[in-house]
Amino acid sequence: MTEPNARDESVEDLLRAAMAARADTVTAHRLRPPAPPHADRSAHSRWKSIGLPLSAVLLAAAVVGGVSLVGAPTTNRSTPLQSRVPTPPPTAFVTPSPGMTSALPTHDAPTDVLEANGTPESSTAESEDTRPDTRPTTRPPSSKPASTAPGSSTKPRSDDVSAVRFRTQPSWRVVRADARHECVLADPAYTGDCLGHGAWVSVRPVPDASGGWPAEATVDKDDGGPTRPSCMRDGVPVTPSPHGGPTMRLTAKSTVTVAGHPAKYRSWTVTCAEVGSYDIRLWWLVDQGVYIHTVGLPAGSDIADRVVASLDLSGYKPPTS
Amino acid sequence: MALLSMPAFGGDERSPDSASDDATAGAAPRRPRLRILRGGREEPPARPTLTELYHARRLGMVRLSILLVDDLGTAEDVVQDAFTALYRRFGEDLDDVDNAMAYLRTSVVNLSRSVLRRRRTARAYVPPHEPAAASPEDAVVLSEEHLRVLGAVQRLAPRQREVLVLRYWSDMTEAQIAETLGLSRGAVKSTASRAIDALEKLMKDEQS
Repeated sequence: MTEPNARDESVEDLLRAAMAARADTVTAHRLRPPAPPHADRSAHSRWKSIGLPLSAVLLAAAVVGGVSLVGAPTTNRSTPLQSRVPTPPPTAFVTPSPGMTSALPTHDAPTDVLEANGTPESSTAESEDTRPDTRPTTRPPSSKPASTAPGSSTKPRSDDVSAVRFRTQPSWRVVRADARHECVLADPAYTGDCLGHGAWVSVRPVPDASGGWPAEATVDKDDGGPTRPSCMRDGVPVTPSPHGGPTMRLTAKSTVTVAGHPAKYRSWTVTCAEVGSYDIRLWWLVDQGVYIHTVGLPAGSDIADRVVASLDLSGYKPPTS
Repeated sequence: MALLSMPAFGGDERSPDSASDDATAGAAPRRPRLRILRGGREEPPARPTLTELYHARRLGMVRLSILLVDDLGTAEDVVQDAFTALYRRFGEDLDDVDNAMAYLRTSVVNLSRSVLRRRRTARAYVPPHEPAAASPEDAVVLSEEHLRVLGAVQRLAPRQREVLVLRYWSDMTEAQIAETLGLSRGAVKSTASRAIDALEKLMKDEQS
């Protein structure tokens, strides 16, 4: 290792370059909000989250108890127990914890919006469950709630991807990548990469001068997909063989309506000679700076269609550059 | 993609020897110290804090971990756990940044190895999943040749992979790798040599 011979030199150089390229794909803004371990903050957070409400409850109980003892010495014992049991507060006052994905439905009848489904294929809406989606997104195991993390905000931003909501309550799981990207996983139990298993929901500035994908200049081309064509088998990228390299072809192009806004719909098919083919699909709401895309979802997966069908932009505004 | 055009923040684990300098240049503000409590004497040099180290080194550690576990979310979890362990061990004030960095680096490698072990166990029960190096953002910048190399690295034995990552990405010496992994220098040298041979063979096999 310390005296690499000529044979190893090219491998070593290649290894260095590949590792550097892979590491450079991780940039600071792709990371979750920083949350350094800190005893004071956690104690303060615990006091705020547990101590204060507990004190308020105890104080209220003491006041109520005192009033009842002083002001109502003749309790009607015939009152049914049921009527004296305090009722829980209405769920409308329940505030989702920071760090949780809030996807409150804005309509009582979620299926009402399914007519806005802009997908060229029929989509299946899950209307059996209309509860708000308050399941937590992934979070570092020892991190504090986002509100305690430096640089994070307790108030949801309207130009953040979390402001893009869903009107139906499906059985999916939303995993936030950063302020502008999140993945909707069809299988809530799945904890791996979004590629081949979920739909990306992303937001971007309007107009976007960064030249990122998707772009008007390339979205109508055969090689206009988000990736350099690579091969995938069962949702997992595999190395293409030298003779059966992947080819990408634009297979669908239309304008549809998504969440009440015009959207460009594109689909590409990537074919690898010895591996098979997979589809890349894109819904791009140009004037809203919102796009949903999938890469290599299994045939029959309708997660993207369901996401598109239930998209709710009523609380969202595009970020500015 | 635009995602990848953003400037990186913080230090990079590729230059471990500069940890002390970077840690003191972290983003978190210094805490005021009351001179009167020290009898009016001159303050001793401020010690770097774990919070500063976190801001300065988190990105580099996530990059180190992702080369081992190949999944960003998992790498972030690993690094968060490593910093938490560091905090439990050293507290907020770090007397010896080099020592803390060594502890942190070892924690990241060990926790990444634990992840791989759990992943192998899980594969006995669920359909296999190889979280490879290709989210759309990643694939757009990784050449096919790099993907091929990284794919081969992922097929190496965990210990071989760790040695290669520490040697060829972190640019650590044999002695540093030995300390980090708890191996002898001889074991590091032989592991690296075998790993390069295995890597070369895997890549040749793929081409043929």
